[in-house]
Amino acid sequence: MRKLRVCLLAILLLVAVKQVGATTVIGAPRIAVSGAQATVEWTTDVACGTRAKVTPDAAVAEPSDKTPTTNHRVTVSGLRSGTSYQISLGTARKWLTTQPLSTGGNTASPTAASPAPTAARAPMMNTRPAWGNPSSLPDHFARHGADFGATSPEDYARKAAEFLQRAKTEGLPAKLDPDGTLRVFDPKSGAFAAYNRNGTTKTFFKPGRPGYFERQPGRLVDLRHQ
Amino acid sequence: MNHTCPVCGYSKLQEAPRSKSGGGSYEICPSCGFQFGVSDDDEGFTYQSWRAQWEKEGMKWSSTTKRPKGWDPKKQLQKLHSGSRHD
Repeated sequence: MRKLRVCLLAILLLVAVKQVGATTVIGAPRIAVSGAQATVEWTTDVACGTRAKVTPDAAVAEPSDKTPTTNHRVTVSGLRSGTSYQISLGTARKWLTTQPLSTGGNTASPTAASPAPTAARAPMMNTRPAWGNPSSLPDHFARHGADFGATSPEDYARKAAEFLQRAKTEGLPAKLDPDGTLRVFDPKSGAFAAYNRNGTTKTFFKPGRPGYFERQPGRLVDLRHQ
Repeated sequence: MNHTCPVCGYSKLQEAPRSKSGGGSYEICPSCGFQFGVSDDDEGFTYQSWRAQWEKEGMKWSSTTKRPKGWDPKKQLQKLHSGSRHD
C-alpha cells in the first residue's frame, strides 16, 4: 500500500514538472502603449500564473488574482515618455519571453532616478507587424504578398500579425510544434501562417494544395481557450 | 549558426531546413529561392528538380536583397556535390 502511494506521488510529481517545463507563449504578446501606461496581453499553451517585469527599472507585476490562466493581462504604469524598456513575461515561477517596450516621444534611456513602473490587470489589444527575420521579409513579400493584396513588405507583415490576432479571436485551426513554431490556418480564405515561439512571423501564404495544414507537424491547440 | 542549403549549397541559411519534427523552416534560400516547407510540401518540387531548374536558368541570385560580394554559385554547388548528399 505504501509502495503504491509512493508510486502515485512520483507520477503526479512527474506530470506537474512536465506541465511547468512545457509552458510556452503562443503567438506574439500584444502590447498597447498609452501615455505613461502600457497594457500587455499574452497567451500560454497551459494555464499558469501571471507575472511581468519591466527593465531597466525592474518593476515586477503580479495581478492580485493569482488563479492560473492561459490568457494573461497586465498593465504597467509610471513609464516615461520616449523611453525604451524591455518587458519580461512569465509564469509565477519562470520568465517565458522578453519583448521591447517603447513609449512615444523622443527615445531615451531611463535613468536610475526614474520612478519604477507599477503594474496591475487591465484590458487591451494591439497588433505589431513583427517579422522573425527582417532581412528575409522582402523575399517573402515578393513571393506571397499578392496572396493577400499586400502593397508593401510592411503591409504584408502587418497582415500576417493581424492574422494571428484574428486566429486567437475566432479560434482558427492551429498546431504547435515542439520546436515552438505555431502554424495557423483559415479554411475559409485558405490563408496559412507560421510563427516563431516569440510570436514573430516566419511566413504567410496561401497553399495551393489541399490538405497542406493537415500535413504539417504539431499538436492541435485551441488559441481561443488555451 | 549557419546552415547549408541542400539544394544549391549556399552556406548561410539562418535555420536548419527541417526541424526535428519534420516541419519546414519556411526560410527562402536567397541563393536558389527554394522555400523549405513550401516549395517542396506545397509545390511538389524535390531538391533535385529545383536544383536542375535553377541550373538551367543560369544559377542566378534569387533574393531581392543584394548579392554577397564574391558569391560563386558554381563553387558552392561543387562543394555540396563533394559533400554528403541527402536527396
